[in-house]
Amino acid sequence: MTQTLQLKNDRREVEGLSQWLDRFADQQDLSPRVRGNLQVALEEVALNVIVHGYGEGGATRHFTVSLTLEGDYVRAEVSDEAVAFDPLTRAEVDTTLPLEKRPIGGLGIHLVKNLMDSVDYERRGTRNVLTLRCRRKPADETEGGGYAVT
Amino acid sequence: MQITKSEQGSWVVLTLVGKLDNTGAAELEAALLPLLTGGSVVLDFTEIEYVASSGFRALMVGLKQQTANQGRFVLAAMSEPVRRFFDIAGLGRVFKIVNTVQSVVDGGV
Repeated sequence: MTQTLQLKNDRREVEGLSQWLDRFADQQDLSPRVRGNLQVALEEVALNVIVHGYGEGGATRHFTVSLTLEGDYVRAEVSDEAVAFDPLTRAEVDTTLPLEKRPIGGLGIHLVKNLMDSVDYERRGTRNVLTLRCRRKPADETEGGGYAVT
Repeated sequence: MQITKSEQGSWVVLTLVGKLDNTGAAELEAALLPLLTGGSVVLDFTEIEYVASSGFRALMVGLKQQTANQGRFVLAAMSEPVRRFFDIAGLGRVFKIVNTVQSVVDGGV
């Protein structure tokens, strides 16, 4: 079963995305941690499309986010019609820099890659399709939805 | 996001409830703006669900500004999953993160 949400190039749309995702997480009984990881990853990807892919303020353009349960995984697919852009080719963030050298932004894709189990980009015709996968119940998750102490 | 401000001793405590996402980050930035003049600020993270990159941006602005003004900027009481976001972002050691608001207010920092 796949649920799909259509969004516009307006950053206020991410609020609706978040509520939609909360409903999905409630239905599927996802833990707070898995829910948080998905919320952050999808907000980052959606904002990238809205702000960089389409740009705000011009003609209305649409993109879709869909969620599918696939065995032990949740698969999220973000599909837009912006110019071809693979966000995974962005330079890695240097997380070892001290405070004075750390830029204040630029963490979005870094978070997506590290919060999800896999992220894949594909150019399908005129569309950019980013596919995110994460486990419904991570192997190291404790009863309360936190991390097992290792 | 819901933000409540209180004063405890020499500390300004901002209690945050909700999501530090794009919307929450804008609200936090507005709440922090008048407080980043030095002095001591602690953010209570007990009820924060997650932090997106926009949230980190707002927190980095706060930390950099407070550092420049010889102030203190402390994050307190975050859950394990939220702490994990800081570690992934490589900011777990950049921010001063403590277990309870009480410990900083009582002079533990």
